[in-house]
Amino acid sequence: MKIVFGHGVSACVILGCLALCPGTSEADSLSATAGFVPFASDAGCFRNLGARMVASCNHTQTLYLPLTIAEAIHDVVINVTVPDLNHNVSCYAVVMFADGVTIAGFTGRRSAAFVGAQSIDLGTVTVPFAGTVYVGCDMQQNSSFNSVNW
Amino acid sequence: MARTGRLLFVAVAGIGAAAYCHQAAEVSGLTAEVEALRRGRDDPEPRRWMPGSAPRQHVSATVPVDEPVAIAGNDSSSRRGAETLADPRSEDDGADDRTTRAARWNAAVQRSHDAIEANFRGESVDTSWAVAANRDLRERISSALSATVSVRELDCRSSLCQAVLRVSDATDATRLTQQLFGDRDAPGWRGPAVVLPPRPGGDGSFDIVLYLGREGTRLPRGAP
Repeated sequence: MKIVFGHGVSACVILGCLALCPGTSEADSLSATAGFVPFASDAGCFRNLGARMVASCNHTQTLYLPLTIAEAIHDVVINVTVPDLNHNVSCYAVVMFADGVTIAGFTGRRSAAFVGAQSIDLGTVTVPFAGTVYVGCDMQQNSSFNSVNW
Repeated sequence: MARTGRLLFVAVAGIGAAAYCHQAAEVSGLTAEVEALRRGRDDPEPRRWMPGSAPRQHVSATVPVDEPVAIAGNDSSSRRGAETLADPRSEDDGADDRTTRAARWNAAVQRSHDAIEANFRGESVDTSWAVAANRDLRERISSALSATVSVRELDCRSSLCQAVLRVSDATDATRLTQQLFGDRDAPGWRGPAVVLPPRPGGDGSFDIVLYLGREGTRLPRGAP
């Protein structure tokens, strides 16, 4: 009985610490609700559904999210949901030099591969010191941008 | 009843331990902040952006940043080099931390660029892709070129192209990259790409080296 009791306490301590102690991972993530619409023609074309941003207009609409960069190298993964392959999502990440206007890198455009919730792996970005990164998704109706991990 | 009591005790103990952990972390963080304030310098690591607060981006440049020249603007200051910009904290100890961090950062960037270049050098030529890619890239660059930009080298292998361009005006580098990668209405090069920092090429001009990957591929990353 003492052994069971001891294991119970240990398990609670470990679980409690896992839940509340600061993590050491360098990875970061952001909900799609932090995004913004760069094209005026897309104003009013997104609706918020939980932490997701759903494209609601019947033309291609674009959502951008800026990433906070704390290291030179990051792997960028975007989580999206696609209603069907006729209403797909195409995403990319753009790296800027410190001047904020000259492009220092581009991941290439990648589209969702199947219907439903999935991750689009954009690959690695190399960010110059004091440079910035944003991700963009060109979205068709009823597709959603859920979050981004980097 | 005794079993319920034990379970209750275990749960309370767990919550207590978790709360202790949380408080310990907070105390540790506060202690670090107090220590940093006492030393009169900033936290050397940038804070992560949180909703409601602006990302903190140091813009001073007394450190050996990767960019050898400031690449935006036509004024003479854009050609002076970032190290000439004044930093009021340059004499402060915090500058050392920033210099160290910048050096570590730039080393990682350099490793990544070296890996891409080594990959390009090691590739054989796949004519089924390289010829078309070379033509496509030359057309895209030409459409973005003005009289102040010239193509010095353009070489496509099996998954990567290397383009060496000379620009006489810093703003041409900006315009060139923006047109090369396009936007939603006019997408440009569809594969991954990296643009190396412009280097002075003599006579006030700059050389820009770009590595452009085949669509669907990923650029190699440098060793950590």
